[in-house]
Amino acid sequence: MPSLLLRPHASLSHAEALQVAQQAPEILRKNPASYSASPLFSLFSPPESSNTWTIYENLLLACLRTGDNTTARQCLERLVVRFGGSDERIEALKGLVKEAEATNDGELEKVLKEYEEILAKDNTNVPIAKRRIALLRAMGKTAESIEALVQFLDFSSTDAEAWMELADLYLSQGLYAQAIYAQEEALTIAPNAWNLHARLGEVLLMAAESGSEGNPQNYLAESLKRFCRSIELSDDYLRGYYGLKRVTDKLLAANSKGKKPSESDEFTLPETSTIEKLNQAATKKLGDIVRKYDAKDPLWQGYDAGEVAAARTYLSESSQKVLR
Amino acid sequence: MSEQELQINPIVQDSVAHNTKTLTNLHSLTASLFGVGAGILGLESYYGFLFYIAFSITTSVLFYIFQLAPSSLAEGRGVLDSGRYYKGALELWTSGIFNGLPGFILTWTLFYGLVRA
Amino acid sequence: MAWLSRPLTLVGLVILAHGCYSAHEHTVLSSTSVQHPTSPSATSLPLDIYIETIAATVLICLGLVLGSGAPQPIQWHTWAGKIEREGDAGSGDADKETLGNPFNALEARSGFININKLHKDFVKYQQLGK
Repeated sequence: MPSLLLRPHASLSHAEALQVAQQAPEILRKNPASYSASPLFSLFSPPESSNTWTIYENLLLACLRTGDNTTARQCLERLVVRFGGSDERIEALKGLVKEAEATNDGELEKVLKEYEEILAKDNTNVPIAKRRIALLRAMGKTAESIEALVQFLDFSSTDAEAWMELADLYLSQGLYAQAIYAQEEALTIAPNAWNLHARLGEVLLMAAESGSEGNPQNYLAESLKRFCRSIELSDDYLRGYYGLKRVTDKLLAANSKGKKPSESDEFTLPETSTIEKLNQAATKKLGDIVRKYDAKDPLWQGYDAGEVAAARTYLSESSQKVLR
Repeated sequence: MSEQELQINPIVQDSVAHNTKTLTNLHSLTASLFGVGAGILGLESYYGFLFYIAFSITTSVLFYIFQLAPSSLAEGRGVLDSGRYYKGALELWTSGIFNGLPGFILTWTLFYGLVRA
Repeated sequence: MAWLSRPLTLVGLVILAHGCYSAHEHTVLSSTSVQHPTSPSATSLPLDIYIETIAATVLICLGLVLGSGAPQPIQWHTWAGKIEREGDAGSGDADKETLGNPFNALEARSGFININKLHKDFVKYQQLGK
């Protein structure tokens, strides 16, 4: 199944990662160790495509994840043969292998030193800078990691991936306002990314639920808008509809308690009737998706099983509430 | 489409390129084929071009029926509405005629010469 | 339907070649025959050659149309919805560069991957499995 091999590795589940790692020896055997530039050799060896190297990279990550460091080394060797050891991306992968092989904090410190040496020579080395930030975070130095990431974003402010990492770091610290800001920056770079809209909606919802800072009503209103945008950009987006239902449920509950939304708010909420309509639409759509997924409709099997299960439980919970 | 509408409902450029490529490939392939047909039949002057235009439109219709119609109609669009896959209706129905014309003339003259000589 | 494409095209090509040969033979024969030295041979192909050629052309045309590959929706929300609904299976072609939602990479953040944590989680997951 080549599609698993091509997906970004971090989005795979453990079982999928294991599946990928088990394919590694066979793929290594099937493909030649190096690609010759001579046209004569290329006649007899499998063709080289850009996917080949994405696959090697993902195999490397999967092997490290499952603890098969020797196979990972082999994958790395192939990449080094092809791109040379001093390529920025290969350097980052080498560092990654060292990180995985490190057994204690002292060795991790050593890897960190190496990163810093490389960056001292060339501080625009993006992959290594990212590895350093990730390693700092992994070692529990979150504050330093945030600082490094902010510096990194100063010179590379169009890197949506880094903005998302920053948002995640802030979120792990409970700094919702900052996380929302970073997320919005990422959205200005990729304005049509429907999953980022939904993600921002989720963060806003979390901020409203924590209620630590700002007005939760504002957060809810903004979150509602984000979820609406995400489903405007993508029909039948399970995550978007799920979020929309959660937000509208919350808003309706607050309204029925008689809390009047203050008029001076920056984000004005839509009419209660509109919210009700949105809620009904979301419920209907979620029901449709769950039903079609359960009926094994071949055109509706792209959803994540966990997400569908969550939607199913939430739907049954809310329908029980209605019955009471 | 206005700028604002494009912001609200963006167009996927990759898909546009993919669809145009599919259609262009199909038309250049079939155009050479029609040239072969016209050459074998020994058509001359206007009849050759009429033959070509008639078959080009047939190809577009076949393409619509087999590739576009199933999902397009399921989406609730009208018959012969290609809005799901192409920006303008003209792109689907007429662009192929001009794309394939050189290929058609090439094979037409070639096969006319081969068969008649 | 796509499997019909190749056989149809092949059969069509064979018929077309036969039609081409027949037309050629006809012109050669009629130009050398002594019975009708005056009749203009170019305009009088037999009807069956006409029918054969046109049928072959339509057949190949149909075969090529069936094999031309499915178009992708161009409206962002339809396209994205299709990806969400069908997942990897929906993209069909194995040679496509991106699979699934192309923006998933932004949430996965491969550049910032924490390999040690992933490995620890994986070991835990395996112990749970046993």
